[in-house]
Amino acid sequence: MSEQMIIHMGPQHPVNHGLWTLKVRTEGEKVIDAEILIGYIFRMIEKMAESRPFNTFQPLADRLCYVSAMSWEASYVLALEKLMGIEVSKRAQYLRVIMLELQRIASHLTWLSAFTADVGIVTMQALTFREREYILDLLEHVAGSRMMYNYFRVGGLKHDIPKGFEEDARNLTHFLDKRIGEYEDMTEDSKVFRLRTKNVGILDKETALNMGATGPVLRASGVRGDIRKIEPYLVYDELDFEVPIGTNGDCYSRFRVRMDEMLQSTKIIRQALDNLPGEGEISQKAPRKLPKGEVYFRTADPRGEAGFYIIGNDDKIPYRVKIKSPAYSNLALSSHLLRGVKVADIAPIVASIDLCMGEIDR
Amino acid sequence: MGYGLYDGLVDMLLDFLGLSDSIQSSLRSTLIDSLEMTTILLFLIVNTIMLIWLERKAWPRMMNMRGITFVDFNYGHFFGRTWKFGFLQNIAEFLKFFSKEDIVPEKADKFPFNIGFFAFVVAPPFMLGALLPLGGDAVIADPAIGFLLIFAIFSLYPIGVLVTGWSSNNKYSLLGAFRSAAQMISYEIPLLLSIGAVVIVTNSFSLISIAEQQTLTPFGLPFAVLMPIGFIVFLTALAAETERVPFDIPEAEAELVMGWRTELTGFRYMMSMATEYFILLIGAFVGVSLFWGGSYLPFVPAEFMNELFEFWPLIATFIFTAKLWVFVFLFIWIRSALPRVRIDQLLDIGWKRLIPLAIINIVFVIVVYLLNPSIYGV
Repeated sequence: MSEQMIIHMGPQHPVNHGLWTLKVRTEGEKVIDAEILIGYIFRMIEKMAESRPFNTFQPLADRLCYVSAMSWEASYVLALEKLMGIEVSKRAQYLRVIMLELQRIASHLTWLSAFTADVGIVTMQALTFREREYILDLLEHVAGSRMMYNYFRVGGLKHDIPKGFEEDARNLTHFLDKRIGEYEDMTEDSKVFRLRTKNVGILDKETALNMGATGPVLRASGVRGDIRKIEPYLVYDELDFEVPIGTNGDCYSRFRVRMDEMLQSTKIIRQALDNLPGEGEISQKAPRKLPKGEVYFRTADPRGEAGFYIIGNDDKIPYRVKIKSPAYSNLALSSHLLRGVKVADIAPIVASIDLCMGEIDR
Repeated sequence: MGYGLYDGLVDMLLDFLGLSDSIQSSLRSTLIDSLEMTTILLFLIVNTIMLIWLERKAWPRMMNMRGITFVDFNYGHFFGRTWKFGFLQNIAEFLKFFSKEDIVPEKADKFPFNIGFFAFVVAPPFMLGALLPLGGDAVIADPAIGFLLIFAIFSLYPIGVLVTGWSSNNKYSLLGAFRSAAQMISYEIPLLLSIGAVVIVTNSFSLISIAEQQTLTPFGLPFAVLMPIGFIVFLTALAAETERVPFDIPEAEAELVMGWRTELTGFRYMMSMATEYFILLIGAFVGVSLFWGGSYLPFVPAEFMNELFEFWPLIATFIFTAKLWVFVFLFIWIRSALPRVRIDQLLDIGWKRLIPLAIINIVFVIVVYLLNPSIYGV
């Protein structure tokens, strides 16, 4: 079979979790070229943000990514706070950090489920969702919703944490540490898993920087690029944690980086619970109108650098809102990564990038 | 040969009819044969359905799920719970598949798509019923070439897969079919080499006499213990032949949707999936007979077992069926634990690891056999 063949993987195909098309040109089992077609679920999110009062857009910011809703509303709210110049109390900041890190673990667990299923361990798919459910239960206890929280507010949080949350969260972090260790046993200890992921889809440091990779994909290539360390927001500079980096830039490094990040997140949550001030204003008054001026604020989403660029015009409605999505930057890489690999490697490579079509098409 | 279950029944029937001797003798063997063929076919179909049930029950249990539960008889509510096991789920789904529309793709090559599938994929496993022992020496036919005939008929399967995949005019089917053909052809070699050692020490191709010889070894240990390398090679190659995880590459659902059966709908799809389990079951028949001592148990004297089987032949069938289920459970267990390998890695494992291992096994067995043949019961 030396003849070239074009396969449209998508918009409905097991390899793409979400609606997009991967147009692959193959020669036998080898991928010659890959093209990415997106735009199937474009929802005009940016336009919606520019046509309504800023506080009513916040529930929609949740919908940017259904897997990490809390971090997207955090990005939006923090950008607005920077534009208005509001300083939030320490207690609210610590609580925000706890919620964000819980969300990060939940998001990475979803990714782990999809990745392992694509490599072929279907058993893991169900197991990681079990642990994710504990986190979602906890967040539901706090915010009242399983996925679309709408918990952050400009000037603080919607309300204080419920009784018993601190103890539950602390127990959960220890429980998660144990379970993440079990997942490592199930995946890394398997020779077949290492065969499928090591030296597959290698992204070297130069290319990663040049092509604008962010998040775990960038860190797996050996760049210490984490917004929580470079431009600390909230109280991340008061907390002691490490940024895990990979060496090889292959699927295995990306897997390893995310596993380590989950362990670091549990560490951050425990520290934040220790340092949590007993008192502080949870929700303070915020101005009704956005001041004149522009702001760009970036946060460390589970998928990488998420940013909001907002122009205020002395009005309730922002003049312009531009969203920077990390999954979009990483998706652009995938056609580069797929060139020259085997057809069977498409699934692990695409899954290791961790895509979320909600924030790519917006 | 034969099961010896129907002789009395048929004699009674013929006495009742009172026909002439020549007609009686020919009618007798015909009747017995057809009754026995029906028995083995029913045994295979029922066990296939129940093994699919086992997979859909045991695997979800490893994922903390309950698996199929609700479609079952009503056993009532006692001991504080409602007892449902989902025994009827597979039958319900088979009926559902038969009610579906049978779609032949418009641009498919109709003749091979229709004929190739049924002639080479579905039919071959059903031809093997007569060769499969049901414990003890109960088998319909025991030809001199024995299990070689089973593997000869097995090797028709990749042709059917290739024909079906190629003719269905779908890129996923084509890739899956080529993978399937490459995989099955390259794994037949280690499969047969691993059995070679068994044939060398037993000097036989018959599944029954090989099973019997495993009672003569020290403590009646089966060959799985006496030649572990050969057994592992056999297990690995069988997983590849039956397209089970970690070698389910031809239908790798992550990238090839459903592999060579992407365009199969309704009862065609059902038959292709059922055939896969059918082949696994037949592989388990061979594996249990060759490596697990058939219906004999280690540490139990063969004379005692033979007397028992003479009294109650069904005990042999029960022991054999239990071993079949354990053998298939091994595959379900492997499926729940391992990822799937890539096609080039698969071929590497086949040619560079399994074939040398199988040859090492043969050399090892020959050396031990020359030093002390009584270890293998000779």
